[in-house]
Amino acid sequence: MSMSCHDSSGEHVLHTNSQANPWINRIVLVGNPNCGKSTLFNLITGMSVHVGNWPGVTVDVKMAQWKVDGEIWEVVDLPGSYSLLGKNADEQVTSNFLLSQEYDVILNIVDSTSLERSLMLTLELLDLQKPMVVALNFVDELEKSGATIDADKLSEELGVPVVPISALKGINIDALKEALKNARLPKLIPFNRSLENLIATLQKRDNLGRFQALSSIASEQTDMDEIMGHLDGIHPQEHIAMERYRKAHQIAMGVMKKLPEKWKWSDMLDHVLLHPVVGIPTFVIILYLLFKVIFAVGQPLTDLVAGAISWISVVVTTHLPNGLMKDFIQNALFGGVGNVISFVPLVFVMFFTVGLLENSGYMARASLIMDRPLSRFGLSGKSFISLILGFGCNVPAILSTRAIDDPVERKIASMVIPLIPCNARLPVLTVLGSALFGPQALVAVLFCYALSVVFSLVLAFAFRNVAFKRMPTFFALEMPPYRMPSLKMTTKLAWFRTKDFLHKAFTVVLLATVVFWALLTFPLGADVSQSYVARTGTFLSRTVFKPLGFNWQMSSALLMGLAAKEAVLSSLGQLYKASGSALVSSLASSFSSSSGIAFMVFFVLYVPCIATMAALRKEVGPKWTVIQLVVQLVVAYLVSLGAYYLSYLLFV
Amino acid sequence: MYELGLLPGITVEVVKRTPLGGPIIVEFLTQRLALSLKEAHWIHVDVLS
Repeated sequence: MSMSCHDSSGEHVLHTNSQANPWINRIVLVGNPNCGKSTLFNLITGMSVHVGNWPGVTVDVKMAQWKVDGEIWEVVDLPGSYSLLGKNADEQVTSNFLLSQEYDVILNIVDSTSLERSLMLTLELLDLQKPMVVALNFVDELEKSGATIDADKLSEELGVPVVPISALKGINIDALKEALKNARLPKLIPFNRSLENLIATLQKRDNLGRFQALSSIASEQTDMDEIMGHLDGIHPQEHIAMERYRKAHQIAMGVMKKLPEKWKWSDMLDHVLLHPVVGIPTFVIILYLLFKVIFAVGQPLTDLVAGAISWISVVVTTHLPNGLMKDFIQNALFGGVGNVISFVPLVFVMFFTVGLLENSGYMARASLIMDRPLSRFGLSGKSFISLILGFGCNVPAILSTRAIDDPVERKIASMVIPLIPCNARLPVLTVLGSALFGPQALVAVLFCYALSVVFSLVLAFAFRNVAFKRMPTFFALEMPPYRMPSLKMTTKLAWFRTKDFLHKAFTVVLLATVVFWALLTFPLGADVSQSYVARTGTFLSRTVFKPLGFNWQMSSALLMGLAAKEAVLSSLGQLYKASGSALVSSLASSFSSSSGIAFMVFFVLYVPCIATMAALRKEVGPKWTVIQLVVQLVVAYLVSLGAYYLSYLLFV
Repeated sequence: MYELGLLPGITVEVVKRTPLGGPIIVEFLTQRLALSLKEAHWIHVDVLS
C-alpha cells in the first residue's frame, strides 16, 4: 500500500515502490472537460494537442508515447466527459473507448478547484473496476484560493493513489509516474441498499459487470416496473446521480479543509466583459484589436521574410544556367512555395493572439455574448467557438463541433464552417487586397471576412429552416474561471500550429506547385499561353468564369486552390513569374477593379480544400457534404457575380 | 444536467446575466454553468433569499 507525506516544498508526494510494473502498456487520461487533460498530455508526451480554457477542446482520441525510466507507455487522451452515461458525441467516444478497448491504468484528472463535481465522474470510473490513479490538477490555483485538499485521506476514501499536480507548471509529475507504477484496483463504493440490490439482481440474471448493470438501469434498458419497484418510484438516472452526488459531497467535505474562492478575479472581469451595456462594445473592440494586432505585427514581419526569400532567390538563380532547372527553382520553389512560407510570421501571430484569448477564458464569455444573436440563425453560442476556430483551420473547427449537444446544430455548424476563411486564405486575400486597394488592403480583407461570416450565418439560417426544421434545444456551458495565459504554452501551441502550416507548404502545396509548374511548362518549348494550365484556365475563363471577368491565370489558380488554399498564391506567383511586392504589382496591372473584387469575393466563399471536405464528410456524411459543396459553390458564384456588377457600376 | 451536478435539492445561485438577453450564469458546487433562459426556465427553484 502506498504511503504519502509532504516533500520539502510542502507539496504532497507519494512515496511508493520505485520498481516499475512491467505490465503498464497503455494509460488512458479521463476527466471532465477543461480539467487540464490535454495540458498534461502535452507535458508528458511532448506533443502539442489543442489546449484551450473552455470545455470541449479534445473531441477525438489522441495517442502518444511517454518515456518513463527506459520504458515506453502509450498515453491516450480521451475527450472530456461529465459522465460515462452521457449522450453527446464526445462523451460517447470516451465511454466506448473505456468499455471496449484494452488499457492498463485509468489516470483520472480531477479539477481540484471543483472537487465535488469532479468526484461524480471519479465514482463512476471506480465502478469500471480497473487499476486507477487520481491526479488532482490545478493545486497551485487551489492553494492561491486559500483552500487545501487532504490527498492522503482522499486516497483512503477512493482506494487508489491520489497525486496533487499542476499540469501547467509541471508540479509533481515524478510523483505521478511513481503512482502510476503502483496503480491498483479501486475500492468499491456502494450505493444505497435498494440500488445495490437491483445491481446485484441484474448482474446475476443478465451476467453483467457492475458498470454494465448500472448503465442498463440508467438507460432504462431493463424492465421499468422492476426498476421503479426497487427505486421507490424515482427516475433511475436521477436516482443514480443523486446517490453519486451524495457520496461525492460526503467525500469532498471530508477531505477539503476550506472551499476555494476561485471566482474573485473572474467576477471583477465579468463585471466589465459581460456588462449589459459595456460588454458588447468591449467584445467588438477585442475582435477588432485581434485583427489589428495580427496585421500590425504580422505584416511587417511577413514583408521582411518575403524580401529575404526574394534576395535568396536572386542569389541562388543568378549563377544557374537558363533552362528547366533554373525555371523550376525560380518559379516553382521560390515563386511558389517561397511565397507561402513568407506568410509564416502572419500565421504565427494569428495563432498566438487567438491562443491568448482561448487560454484566458474569454472565448467562453464570447460564446455567451453570441448565443442570442446566433440563435436567430439556428445556432447557439457553442457554435461560436467552432466558428472562431475556423479562422485558424476549418478541419479542427469541424471536428470541434462534436462538443455541441444538439445533433442538428452540430450538423449545421459543420456545414457552415467551410465558409469561414481559414489562415491559408489570409495570405491570398492580403496580396489581392494590396493589389487592388494598396494601403487600404486591411479594410478589403476585413470586408471579405465580414462577407464570409454573413453568408455562413445566412446559410445556417437556410439549413435550419429548409433542411432541418427544428429549432435549437439546448445551451449549457460550464464556465471556466479566467486564467492568466501562459506565454510559454501559448507560444508553443502557436508554433506547433504554424508547423502544420509549414508542413503543408512542403507537402500539399509543394506537390500542387510542382504539378502546376509542370502543367505550365509543358508541352516543352511552347508558349505559356499554350500550356496545359493555360488551356484549362482559358476554357474556364471563356465559359463559367466569363461573366465574372476572370482571366485564364485567375481561373487556373482557383483550380489549384482545391488542393490547398495557399496554392492559389503559389500558382499566381508562378503564372506571373513574381513574388512579394512584384507579384502585387503584376496583379494590380492585370486585374480590372471589377474582376479583382469579384475574384476576392469568389475566393473567400468558394469550396474548401480537400482536407476540409474529408473532415466534413466524416462528420455529416457524403450526402450532406455534396449538398454543402454545391450550395457553397453556387453562393460564391452568385455573390461574386453581384460584386462584379456592383463594383462595375461604382468604379467604372 | 445531472451529469454536470445540477441535481434536485441543490442550492443554485444566479451570479450573472449576460448581454442581449443571453444565457444566465448559475453557481453550484463551486462551479458555474451558463444556461440559456429557455433552459433555465425548466429548473424549479425555491427562493432562499
